Amino acid sequence: MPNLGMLAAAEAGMAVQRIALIPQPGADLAAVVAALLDGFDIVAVAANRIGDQLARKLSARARSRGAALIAVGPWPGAELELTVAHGRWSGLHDGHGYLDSHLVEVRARGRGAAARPRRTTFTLRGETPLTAPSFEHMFDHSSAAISDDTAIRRTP
Amino acid sequence: MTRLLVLWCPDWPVVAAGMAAGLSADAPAVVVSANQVVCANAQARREGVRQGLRRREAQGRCPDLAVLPTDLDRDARLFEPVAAAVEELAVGVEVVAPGVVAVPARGPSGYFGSEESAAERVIDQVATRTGAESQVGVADGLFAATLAAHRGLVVPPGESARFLAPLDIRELADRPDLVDLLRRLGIYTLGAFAALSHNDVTSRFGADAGYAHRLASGLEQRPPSRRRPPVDLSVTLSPDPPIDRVDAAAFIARTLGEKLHNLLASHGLACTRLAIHASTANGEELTRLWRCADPLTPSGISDRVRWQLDGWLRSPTRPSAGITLLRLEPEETVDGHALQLGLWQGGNDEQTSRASRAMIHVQGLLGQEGVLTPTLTGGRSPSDQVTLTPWGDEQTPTTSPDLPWPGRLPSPSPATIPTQRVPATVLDRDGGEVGVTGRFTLTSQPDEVAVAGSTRRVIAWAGPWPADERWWEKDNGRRRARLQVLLAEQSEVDNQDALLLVRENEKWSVEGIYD
Repeated sequence: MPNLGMLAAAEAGMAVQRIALIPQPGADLAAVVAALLDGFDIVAVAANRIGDQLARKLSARARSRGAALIAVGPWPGAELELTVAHGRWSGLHDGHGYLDSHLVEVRARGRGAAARPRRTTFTLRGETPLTAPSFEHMFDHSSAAISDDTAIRRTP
Repeated sequence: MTRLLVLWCPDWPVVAAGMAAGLSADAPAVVVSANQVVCANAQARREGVRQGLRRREAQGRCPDLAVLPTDLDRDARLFEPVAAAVEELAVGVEVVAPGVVAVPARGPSGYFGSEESAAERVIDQVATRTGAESQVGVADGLFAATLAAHRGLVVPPGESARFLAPLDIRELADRPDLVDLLRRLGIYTLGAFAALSHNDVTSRFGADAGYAHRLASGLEQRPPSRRRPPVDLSVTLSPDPPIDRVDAAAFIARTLGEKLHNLLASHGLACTRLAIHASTANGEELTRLWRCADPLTPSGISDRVRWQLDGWLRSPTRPSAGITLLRLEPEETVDGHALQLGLWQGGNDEQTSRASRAMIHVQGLLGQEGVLTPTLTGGRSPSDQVTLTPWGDEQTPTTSPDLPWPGRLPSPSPATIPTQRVPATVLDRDGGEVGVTGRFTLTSQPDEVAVAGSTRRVIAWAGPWPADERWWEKDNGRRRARLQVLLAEQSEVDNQDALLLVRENEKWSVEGIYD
């Protein structure tokens, strides 16, 4: 992901000094991802062509290390798939204003406990960082909570 | 105390920078860092340029002054031939700093008859081999010998304290705070400082002042009870494949420095004198001793390995094959708690070290430039506000993000920033291109935007926000205007696309995509 906007990441509340970027992972993507899973808690991969077998291997590695593997793009056998649709911006008008907030609808679909597809909408703003409580709040009103391992489970 | 012969090249940073830039040696030149003169040569000093002067003021005093950047690596690399020239005459050469080498005086003075003739021979040798000007001083102890070299003197044995006594207290140049304090207390010479009781100085001003007091009294900086480390503290590495490039050497240097430092730290030691041996497949060898007043940190060790290999691999007498063996031997160590800060700095918790191991692993796969860490810096465009540095290099923001940057757009910032220029076309209702006038107003209202072949209708827009940057620099000035546009969705479930467009040189391009 060489075109990732780090400034936007910082505004969303990420500590940029704790991020490492590998813009060109080269031909041996699997070796690089495996090495990163050994050291980091969250690894995001933008892979547009990854084989079934390789994907399973990396998922298993992530599970054994207790790391979260986030794939930007399709990933065979993913636990949870999140897609964004219906994005609407506000704040910008005809010749004046600034882009201010982004209303998005997130659709989640996955395996096991998350098998039932569900959707929720929330607003993304620049200045207010995304925190775990704000996430919980977003999912609360649709009677679901988000747990640490990013799998959505239902609350009674 | 060992009698040392010190060779000092006056104004070495300027000499090295001039050599690198191809300037003649008799042109006035200075080396500046952070807009302050760090070092000036004799021609510049004659025009009144002094160390610590602001760059502009220095240029004002001497209009044809050559201003050169500071670069410690360059100084060390170009100094390597000088150290090699001294080594041909005397054994046991120690590089104290780029510009200063020390050798035990006993060998050469015995061979050449007297210390004076040894000094002459060394100066001649350096001048014929490298063309560098130098001065030599001989005295007991490194501090006295270095000051003797500044004056080109031979101080008789046992006379170091007498030689130092009348000198200005400001010769303790690397402790400006202490010097300032002592001068305010009315102590103007090294002799007056040495006359104080050592215990009083240490208890009142701390251990570091105690070391300075030892120097002023003509003694070695640290008490002579240094331990000679057992042999097994050396670190050996056989690089495979052999190193023949400078960047590979730098990479090896870093791991080696860490390794040695951790080994020493586990014995509770830190290194003050380090020998670096390198040998090649064809049997060529280069050994250098590095002496350092303060215990070496991991990065200090790796810097010295890099300087030495860098100098060797780029010299005209470069080895005929790659380096196959590297050995670091700590020659002199002090107790590690002298280096408490260095040992614990950088938050050595388990997670950090796990992450750094992973990054070193990836750097091993992809090269040092493969792993980048971001730092937030100041700027106007979203890409200016982030600097990426290879992991392990020092992260120094060039500009502060806290300064006001007029023309910077408020948050949220675009989450996707194209790495290559993506041309765009902005059309008005009549199908003509929308432009920006010299006074930063739009020529007409935008109605459609075409990016990469697909044309979409504009439902909202704002701007243009002008950014007129560095207009005071002839070649670096940039005039840009930014525009936020919101493009209509294609269907009910489709996302609205928000783009940040920028117009420069009469052309629109996509600077960021809000998603």
